[in-house]
Amino acid sequence: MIELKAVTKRYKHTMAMDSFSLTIPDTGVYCLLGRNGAGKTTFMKLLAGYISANSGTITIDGTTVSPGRMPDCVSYLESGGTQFNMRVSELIDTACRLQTNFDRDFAQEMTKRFELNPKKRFRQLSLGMRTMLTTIMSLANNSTVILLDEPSLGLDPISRDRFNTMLLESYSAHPRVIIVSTHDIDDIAQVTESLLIMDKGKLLVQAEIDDIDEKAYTLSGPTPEVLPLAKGLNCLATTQTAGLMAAHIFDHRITVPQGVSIDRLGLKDFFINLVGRESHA
Amino acid sequence: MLKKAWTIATVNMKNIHAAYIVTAIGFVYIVFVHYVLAVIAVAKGMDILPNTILSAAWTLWLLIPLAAILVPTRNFNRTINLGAKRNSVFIGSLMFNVVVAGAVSLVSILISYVGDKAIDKVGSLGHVLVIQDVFGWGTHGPVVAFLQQFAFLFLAITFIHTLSAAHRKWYGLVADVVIIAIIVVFNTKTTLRADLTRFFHTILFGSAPWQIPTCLILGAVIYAVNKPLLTAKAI
Repeated sequence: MIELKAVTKRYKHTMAMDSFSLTIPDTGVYCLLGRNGAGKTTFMKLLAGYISANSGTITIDGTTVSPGRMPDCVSYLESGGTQFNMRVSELIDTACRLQTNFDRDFAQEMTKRFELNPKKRFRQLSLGMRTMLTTIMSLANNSTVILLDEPSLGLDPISRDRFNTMLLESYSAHPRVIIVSTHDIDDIAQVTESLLIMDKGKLLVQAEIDDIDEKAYTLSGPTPEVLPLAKGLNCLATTQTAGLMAAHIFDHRITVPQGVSIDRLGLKDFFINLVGRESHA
Repeated sequence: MLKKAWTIATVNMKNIHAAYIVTAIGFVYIVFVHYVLAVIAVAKGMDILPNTILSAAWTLWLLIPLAAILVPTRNFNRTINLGAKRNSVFIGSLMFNVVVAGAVSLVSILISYVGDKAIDKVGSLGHVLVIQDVFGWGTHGPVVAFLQQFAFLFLAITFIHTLSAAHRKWYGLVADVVIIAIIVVFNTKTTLRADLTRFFHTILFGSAPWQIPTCLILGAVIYAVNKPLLTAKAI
């Protein structure tokens, strides 16, 4: 369905996407993780046809995407993007008139659920409410590809929970590809099925959440015992203190000798160890 | 497609507050200085009036450059952020330019033929300098005057719109240099100067059968340049 082949995007001296390749064959909720500057927004803008790639090809259902051919089947509204300072109701009404397949009833229902005052102007809304309004307008579009860039930015825990519910409801009503870029790893893990991790413009991991639950673990124990075990596996990072070692692994499960413990590596720790640590075994 | 384009045109009309405010200030200033003070002066028998006063209709022309700058530079991203596609923006902005040029021309004609004529009748208020008198657009009545003014304003708004749209890229600056170079080069050589004069004479002072199509066709051609500009524009 979605295919990026060796896509490169450069901004003057910054390489935002470095020969990036990815295939998304099926519908589903995909979580896009990456540090700030990893290239997540660039990835979404390229997919939406907002910007052009320096090289490589991007296709959706076999059709090439470029700024000259912004795909109708993609809905991308930038969270921090500027909006007209119109009333909430006017913004939804305008979005409805501008977008094909816009579900006005869904948008209005979600506006009520998130207690967004339809009479308030955009600049009168808090950061979280602005983000929520943009997310509602994006999800209300029944396109086959929905790109949500930081949809939980500025949301309180209750709103984040409601957002997750809304995301699931929207997906249940219209199964499609929904790619959610976020830093709230644990929250999104409750609703997503697949994970995409980017770093420095490259795709590091494309995996199912269940796979990560199964393959991501930590071996801990005395260094002389843990080190040889870790060397034969895909070790993401290690930490050593006073003769003890913890090795964070993303590989098949192994049977460990006595004195070495094996613990599940949470999604957040998996991400941190994958992109945030420099000392690899 | 046309429905979406019209939505973009109306959203732009509602979101050029700065242009409306500046135009309104200019309009109120002219009305106050040239009309209200003039009436007070005449009523009190004071001889402080100039022989010629400027029609308030001129101030409406401020809306043209301001709107032409705001729409491609400020409103474009906001429109895309509401889910609009580039093709709709291209047609919607054209509709917006047509409506603004038409509205400014219409109101300007109304002011000239109703307000200014009334002031002219009161001889002691001085002569009002109206747009169609300066460019000779009033020779064939208000309808032709409206069309001639509309055609010129359409050319002006599309020209400024296109130049503004190009300005964030190197070719926008190149366009500036080329325009300045044309004016400089054409002014230094007598034969070319005559061509340049003929061009400006046609779009400003030409007779209606020449001036209207020239401005409309030239405006449409210049606006067509927006198509590749929009395609290349990063959001």
